[in-house]
Amino acid sequence: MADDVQLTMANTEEQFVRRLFQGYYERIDAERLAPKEIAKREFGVGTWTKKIETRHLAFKGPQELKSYLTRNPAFYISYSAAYYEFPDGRPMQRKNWQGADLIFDLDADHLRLECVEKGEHAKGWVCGKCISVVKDETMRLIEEFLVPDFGFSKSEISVNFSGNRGFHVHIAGETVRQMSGWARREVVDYISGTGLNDDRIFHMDSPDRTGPAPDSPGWGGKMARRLIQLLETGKFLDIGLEPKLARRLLKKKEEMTAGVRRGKWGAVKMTGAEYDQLCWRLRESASVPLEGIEGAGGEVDAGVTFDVSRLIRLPESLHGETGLAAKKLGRADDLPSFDPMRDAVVFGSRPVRVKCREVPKFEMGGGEFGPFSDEDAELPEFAAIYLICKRKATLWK
Amino acid sequence: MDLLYISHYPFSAEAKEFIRSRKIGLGYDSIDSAKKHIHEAMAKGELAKLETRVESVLERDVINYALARAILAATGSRYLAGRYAVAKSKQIGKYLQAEDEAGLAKVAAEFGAELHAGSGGKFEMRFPDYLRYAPKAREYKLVNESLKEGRVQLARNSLVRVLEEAARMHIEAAAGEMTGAPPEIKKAAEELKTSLPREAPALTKVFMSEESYPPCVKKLLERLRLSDNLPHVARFYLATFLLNTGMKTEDVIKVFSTAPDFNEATTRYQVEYIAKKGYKVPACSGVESYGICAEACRVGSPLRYGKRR
Repeated sequence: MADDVQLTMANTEEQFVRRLFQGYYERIDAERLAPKEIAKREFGVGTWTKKIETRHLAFKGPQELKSYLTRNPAFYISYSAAYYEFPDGRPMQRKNWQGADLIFDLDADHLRLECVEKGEHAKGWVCGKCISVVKDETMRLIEEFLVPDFGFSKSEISVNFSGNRGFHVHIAGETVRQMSGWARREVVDYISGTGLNDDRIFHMDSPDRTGPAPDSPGWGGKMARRLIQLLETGKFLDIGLEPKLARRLLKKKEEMTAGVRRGKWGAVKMTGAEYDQLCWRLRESASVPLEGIEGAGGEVDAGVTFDVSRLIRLPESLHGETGLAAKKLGRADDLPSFDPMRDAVVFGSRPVRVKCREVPKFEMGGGEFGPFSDEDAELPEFAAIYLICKRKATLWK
Repeated sequence: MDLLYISHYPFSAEAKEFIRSRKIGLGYDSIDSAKKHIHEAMAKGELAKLETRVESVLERDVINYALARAILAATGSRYLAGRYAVAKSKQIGKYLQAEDEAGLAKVAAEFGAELHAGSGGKFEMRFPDYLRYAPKAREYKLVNESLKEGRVQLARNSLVRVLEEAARMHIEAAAGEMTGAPPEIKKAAEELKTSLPREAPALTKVFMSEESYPPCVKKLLERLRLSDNLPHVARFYLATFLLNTGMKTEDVIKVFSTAPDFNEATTRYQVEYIAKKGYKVPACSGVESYGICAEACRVGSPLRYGKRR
């Protein structure tokens, strides 16, 4: 019966999505949706056409937030990483900034994606391969940087799906709360290897070419470990090293490995330029590109980390470009097994008829759909809303 | 009460207690002594170490510091307050050089930074404390430090420099807090303003085609004119930019003459070094990473600003 109603109504896509979003916010547990210290956060909401339309909103508690969203089901809702005395104060100075969580935004947009480069799908689309690249980078951020170098424990780190193409990593607590924008920028530079001075790590003038060993702290150790790993796997071309240099390194694999283990990098004779190239590539492949890669295009969003008054997607809220939820992961370690197209799906499977544009084949909610090319299709509600939000389909009217 | 410690580190909790417990008189002698102290700091850009242990001299030194800051705050001049902070912190740096491990840890604790003994005679400092106090210079970028389990490993010399910078920040920051100063302090501030240049003496005017400069450069020039203490990276960037637009070394040095810690010889050495090395102007991404991007003008390179529009 519900189908008939839907089919006969002169419904716009916007109304359709809004009604479903409203249902979601009516069902949700307010406590789960509310961020810590909600009364000190600024909120911003977006419309069908604009991700942040209104800012400077504030809510006293979880119920107030929930009731706002059930009355005005926003297509996007973000909140401040910052804590303010007066979160709805304007202009910004009146809010009285009291600190902020430390946040990292990893998005497929920032990364070089093979599937996009090979033309498997357009840039705005996201496939399982894109997600798995972002997941790897997120894991590396946590396992190689946040835990061993910055000393955060996994219990302090919370991860959530962004609702579209990436993951957000949040760290709250006294250690980070008072960090200035400059300090956060330095953290981003550390993780992305920006401003690394090779001369501090390598002493190329020394006869046996002294450099870092695998157990050296900081970036030196990272580069040594990365080189040993590459000597083992032989995958130098993947990091963009010149084939000639790669061959010479692999030819003396044992000597080079044994040397680097002791902090001696001289087993393969290299020119200054070749050393520079090797260092550059090792650094590039061991860093997490929070900055976005030049040429990969997309929005560069290291700003999320160092702009101390930026708004970021509210975990567990819906993303207006996908209809998926920005799901919180129970633990950071759950990331490898997290599949957004299964775990962030929140709508039902009631059939909905839509007119599809060009849509590649996609998997969602345990089913496989498409490809479609300017054709009508009957899809489960969750898949229909996904395509409608992505502007890849309209309701069959 | 350790008077030697109090006089070396007059920002310490002990020193504050000492100053509070002492009713500091605002008589002619006290004010005159503080004014001389300020003049000495301004003239040389740094204060010499006190080698004495004579109690009355040490006491006078602490009181000079307290009064100097009150007077400087009352002048409302960022240039004077900044220059004093530089001079005083250089003196503090000299005292720090002579401290043993426990002494350094005690001073670090004054700034809320916990120190731990590291391997090979190094010191360990939690990274947020390090980022808060390390000089904003390339040599101190976190990416080049040994960071492990949340702690930065520092050689003794680096640690001393970080603590010196912490002292400078402290002395400079609190200088603006003075309101409703007593008449004696106000009078001294007025006298100081007439006897000292309230603003930095710009050597001579330099002609700059500023309208065509990108917002980041304009902002830095403006801050320099206000005698803001620009971080090292900002100075490096500004010098590189100006040299690359064809400005002569001499003129670039003049541009920096309004810095509160201006020293012509040092500036000349650094500007000439940058010119000799032929450093290129960094791309906008680099400017952003120095934390001095003023506006997302999206030109890619600061040198391209104004040419594309």
